[in-house]
Amino acid sequence: MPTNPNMPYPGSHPQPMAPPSEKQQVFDVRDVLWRVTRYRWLLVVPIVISLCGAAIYYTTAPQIFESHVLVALDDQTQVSGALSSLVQRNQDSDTPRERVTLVDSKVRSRRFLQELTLRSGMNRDPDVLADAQKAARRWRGVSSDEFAIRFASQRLSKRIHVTPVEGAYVRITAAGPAPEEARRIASLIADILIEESKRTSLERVQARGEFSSDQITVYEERLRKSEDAYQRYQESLIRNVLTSNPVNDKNIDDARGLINMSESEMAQIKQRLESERSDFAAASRGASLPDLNGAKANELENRLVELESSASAAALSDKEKSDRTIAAMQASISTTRQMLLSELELEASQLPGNLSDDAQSAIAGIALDRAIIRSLTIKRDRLRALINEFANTVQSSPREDMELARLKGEVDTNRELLNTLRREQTSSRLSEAMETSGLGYRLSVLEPPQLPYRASEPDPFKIFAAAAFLGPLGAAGIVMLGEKVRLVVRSVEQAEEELGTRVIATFPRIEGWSRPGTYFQNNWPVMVIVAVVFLTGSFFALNATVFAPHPVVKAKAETKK
Amino acid sequence: MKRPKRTLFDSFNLDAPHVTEARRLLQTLARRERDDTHPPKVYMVTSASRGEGKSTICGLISMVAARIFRRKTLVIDADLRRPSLHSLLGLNQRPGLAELMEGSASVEEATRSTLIGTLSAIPSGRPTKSVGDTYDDFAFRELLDQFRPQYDLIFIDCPPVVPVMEPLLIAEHVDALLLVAMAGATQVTMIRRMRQILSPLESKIAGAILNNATDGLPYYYDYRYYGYESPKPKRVREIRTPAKPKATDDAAARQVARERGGA
Repeated sequence: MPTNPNMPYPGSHPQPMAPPSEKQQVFDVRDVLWRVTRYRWLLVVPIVISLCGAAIYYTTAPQIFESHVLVALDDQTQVSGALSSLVQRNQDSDTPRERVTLVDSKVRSRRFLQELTLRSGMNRDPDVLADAQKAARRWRGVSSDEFAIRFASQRLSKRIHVTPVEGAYVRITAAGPAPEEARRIASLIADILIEESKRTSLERVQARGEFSSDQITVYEERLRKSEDAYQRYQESLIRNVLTSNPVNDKNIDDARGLINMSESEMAQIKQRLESERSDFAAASRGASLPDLNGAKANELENRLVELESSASAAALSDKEKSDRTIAAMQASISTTRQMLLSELELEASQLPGNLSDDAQSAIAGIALDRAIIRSLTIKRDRLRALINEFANTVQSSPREDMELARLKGEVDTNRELLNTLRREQTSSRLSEAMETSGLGYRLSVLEPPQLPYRASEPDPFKIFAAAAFLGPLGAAGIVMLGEKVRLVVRSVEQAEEELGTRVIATFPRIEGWSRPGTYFQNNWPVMVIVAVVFLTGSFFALNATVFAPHPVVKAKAETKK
Repeated sequence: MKRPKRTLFDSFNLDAPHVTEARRLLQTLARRERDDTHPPKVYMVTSASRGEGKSTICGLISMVAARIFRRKTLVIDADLRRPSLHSLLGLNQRPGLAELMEGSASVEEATRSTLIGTLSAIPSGRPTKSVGDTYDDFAFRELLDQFRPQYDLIFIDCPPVVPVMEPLLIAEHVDALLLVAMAGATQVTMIRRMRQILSPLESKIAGAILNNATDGLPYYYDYRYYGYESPKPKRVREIRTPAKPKATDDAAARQVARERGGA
C-alpha cells in the first residue's frame, strides 16, 4: 500500500520543465504566442463576425449628407481707437471653446430651433405630424401643432453640430438624408443666426442706453445734493474761522492770568465795599442804602463793561501790537470809572432827605464799586467762555476734517459715476448707430453652405477600423475570460489543488489521433466562421438581386426627388 | 470498405512522447515500489467523467510496463457500460469480464494474449443483463486474488467515478488509484465531486494523471515545443495477419502466432 500520497517523493512530478509559479509569472511572450496558436480559430471568430457585421452595416445604414457653414465670430467692423474703447468690444479675449459654446447655445436654444423648424417646414413632415397627433391624444392641453414643432425641433437639434475651427471661426454642420436638405438647413441656420445676433445686439445696446439715461438723472440729483452739502459745510467752517476765538494754545495761559487778575481785583473791591458800607451806616444813622440808577450812569457802566472786555481781548492778541492799545484802553477805563464816579456823586447829592456829605460820598463809592465788580464779572465770564470754546474747538477739529473729506469724496464719487454713465450713454448710442447701420455684425458667414457631393455617413474607414479594432479586442477578451474563469482544469497546479494529490504524469495527445471530444466540440469555431461568411455572402447576394429595387421603380423615385 | 480502427500498437513507438511519458510514470511507480514494504500491484485507473482518456492511458501504461519494463502485466477492462480497451488493443470484446462474472466463460477464455508477450488483457465482454446485475463484487475480488500471484502488475480500466457505483466497489480491492483528468476539458466541479466520492479511499490515491497536455496545458508541456514529435504512425496491420507476422517485437509476433495457432 502506498504511504501518504500527498507526501512529496523524488521524481513524483515528472514534468518536462519546472513550470514557473503564477506569482512569478508576469508576462511570457512564448506563452502568449502559444495561446494564440492554440486559440487561433477562436480568435478569428470575433474578427470575422465584426468584419462581416461592419460590411452589412455599411451596406444597410442610411446615408447622411452634411453641409457646412463657416462663421466668423470676431468684429469685422473697423472703428477708430477712440470709438473702440467707447463701444467696448472685447471679443478677442474669448477662447475658441467659449466661442463654440456661445454659438452652440444660441443654435440649440428653443427659440432658434422653433424658428428654424418653421422656416424649414419640418413641422409638416408626415412622420412628425403622426407622432405629434399621437402625443396630442395622450397629453391633453397641448395642440398637435405645438407637439409637431417640438418634435421637429428635437430632431433638428440632433442634426446640427458646432465645431471650432482655427482662429476665430466656428463651423456649423447640418446633416440630412438628402444633399439638398442638408444645404437648405445649413443656409437657414446661417440666416437665422445672423438675424438673431443682430436683433439681440440691438436690444442689448438699447437696454444699455435706457438704463444709462435713467441712472444719469438719479446721479445728477445725487451730485447736486452732495455738492450743496459740501459747500454748506465749507461755509460753516469759514464762518467759524471769521468769528474766531482770540484764545489759542499760545495765549490760553494769559487768558487764565487775566481771569485771576480780575478775581483778585474783585476781591479787593469787595473788601473796600465792606468798609464803605460801614462808613455809610455810621454816617446815615441806620438809614437804608439807596440805589443810583440814572440813565447816564447806566450808559457809563455799559461802556465800562465794553472797555474791560475789549482790553482783555487786546491783551490776548499779538503782544507786540497790543501793548500800546492796552495802555490806551486802561487809560479809557480809568477815565470812564472817574466819569462814572462823578455822575454817581451827582446823583447821590440829589437824593431826597438830609444826607450828610460823608453819606452821599459813601453811596456814590458803593455804587461805583458795584459797577466795577459787575464789569469785572462780565469780563471774567467772557474769558472763561472763550477758554471753553477753544477747548471744544481743539476736540472737534479732526471730526470736521473727516466730515469734510467724506463730503468731498461723496461729491467726487457721484461726479465720477455721472461721467461713467454719460460715457455709457454715448457708447450705447454709438453702438446702436453701428448696429442699425449694419456695420457691427458680430457674426458673419465666411463660407456659405455647399451641396455635399458624397455622404458623410456611413464612413467605411471608420466602420471597418472600428471592426478591425473591436474584433481582436473581443477575441482577446473571450480567450482571457475563458482562461481566467477556470471552469475547467487548465494547469498542473490547478489540477493538484482540485484533486488534492500530486500530478505524476502529463500525457500528450497521441500524434495522429483525433482530438478528444465530438467533431462539433473540436471544430465549432471554424464552423461558425464558415456560417458567418456564408450568411454574409447570402445577404449581399439577396440584397443585390431579390431586395434590389426594380430599375423602373428606382428611376421613378429619382425623378420624384 | 470500413476503415479498421487504429490501435495503441499502431502508435506505439519508443520515441513517441506519450510512450516517454508512460515510461516516466512507471519509473515513478517502480521507485515507490522499491521504497515501500508492501508495493502496490493492482492499480485502478479512473476519472471523474467519461471521455477523459483513462482507457487509453490504462492500455498505454500496461503496454509500456510489459514491453519496456518487462513486467508480466494484466489489464482488465472493468467499464462494462462503455468499453473501449478491446478496440485500443485490437481484441474482440467477448468473451471478457462480463462473461466471467456471469459464469459463461472461464478465466482462460477471457484472458487474452496481445502482441506483447508479457501483456495479457481481459476485455469487458458483453453483459446479457444489466451492468448492476452483472457486476459481482465478490467474484471480482476472487478474480483479483486469483490474478495477484500470476502477474507483476494489474491495471484495471474503470468507469468514471461520478456517474456510476462500480469504481467505488472495485477501489476497495485494489492497491492504488490513478486518477485521470483531461486538461482543458474536465470540469472543476466534476473533479470536486470525484474527490468528495473518493474521500474514504484517499489514502489509496497514488497520484493524478493529466491527459491532453498538448492542447490543454501551457507550452512547456508540449513536446513539439522542444522539437520532439512522434514519427508518423505506420499502419502495422500486417503483424496481426498470420501470413506476414511483421511485428515490432519478436515476442509479440510469436504471441500472435501462438494465439492464432491455438484458435
